[in-house]
Amino acid sequence: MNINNVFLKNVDSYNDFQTQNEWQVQEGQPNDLYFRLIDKDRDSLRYIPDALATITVEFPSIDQLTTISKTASMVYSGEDRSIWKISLTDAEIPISGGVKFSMTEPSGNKKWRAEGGVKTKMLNVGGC
Amino acid sequence: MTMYFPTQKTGAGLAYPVYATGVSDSLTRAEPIITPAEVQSRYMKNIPTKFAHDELTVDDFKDQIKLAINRIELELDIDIYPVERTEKHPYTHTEYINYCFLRTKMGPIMRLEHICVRSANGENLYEIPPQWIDPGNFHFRQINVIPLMSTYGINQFSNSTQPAGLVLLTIMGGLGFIPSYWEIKYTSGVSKTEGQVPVPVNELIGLEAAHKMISMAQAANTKNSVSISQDGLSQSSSGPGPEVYKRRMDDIQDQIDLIKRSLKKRFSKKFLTGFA
Repeated sequence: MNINNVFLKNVDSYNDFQTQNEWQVQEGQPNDLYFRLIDKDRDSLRYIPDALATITVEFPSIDQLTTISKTASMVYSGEDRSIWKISLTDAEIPISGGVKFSMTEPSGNKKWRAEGGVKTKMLNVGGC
Repeated sequence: MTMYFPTQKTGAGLAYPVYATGVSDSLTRAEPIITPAEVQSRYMKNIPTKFAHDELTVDDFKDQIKLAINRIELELDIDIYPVERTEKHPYTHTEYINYCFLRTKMGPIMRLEHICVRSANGENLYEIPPQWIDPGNFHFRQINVIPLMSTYGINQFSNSTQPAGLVLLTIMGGLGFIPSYWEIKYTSGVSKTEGQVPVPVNELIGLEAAHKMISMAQAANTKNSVSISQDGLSQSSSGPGPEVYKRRMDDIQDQIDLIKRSLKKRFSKKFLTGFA
């Protein structure tokens, strides 16, 4: 089992969504970010976690003060437990581009990371 | 993981453009690390990514972007993603009398935590007061300790064994060289906004990644010529074969060399000190 995720956008229902290479986040506004669990050992088929599963999504940074940690929620817990969501406020800006996932199930913990998993479009672009 | 505090030393203004203390944001000079889709749209127009027996996937692009970043960091001695470092530098009499001229091994210096004299057993003997450290050339990896200020006599010995440090500094005039003396703790990176990189750095990453991807793409074009004949009718065609994108790759390589030279000029400088 090699649990990972795909990034989703335009999630209107568990039958109506699109995939994307990375999350796109715009600074200065709240952002809802969706993802779907997959098992890379099984040709990236969706992975349905235990109903009691919890997932934490972390946006790391070299500066502890700008690290963001969010608890994800199942979007369609009755129909499709593979689709999850986190909500970022307008003050929460993922900056490093990396994303770390940590899933806890009764059967054990699973962790994975997505390098370049989020692209944040900043408002101040004249320098850095 | 580090926790930064405002008391630490940073250069005035932005890391890029260098020396900038204000920008209008009317021109984009900083952006997030290039994505696979951007590599394709910027540098691989009309280059196929699907072939008869294989294809270049998004994961392949991400892998090449990661490899390119690591290669560039190694080659140019710059950190694209910020890294906190602790370096030991030698004491040399010449540099000491030239306002303690120091250059870090990697750069640009984004934030300086401290410069201190640390003994071999890890004891902090003397810490240079942060007010004396001039950040004006941090982008060149250059640190100067310049105790010229209205409060010249100020002493600040945070976390240091003050008497030992003072004794050590007093005898420095008589010594020529100590191989491991100054400890510099700093964070290096091309940007003060983590995740954002200067556009030329991003261009270099994209070009390096595209160069490798195009190299793989042209390997799919194995045949120089093809001919078919049947019942007296024949058709033949010839092409460049596995060198089909050589011109494009040469162009990209030229751009890579140009940007590397420009970045070296922007973020590094050879500087010698000596007696007059």
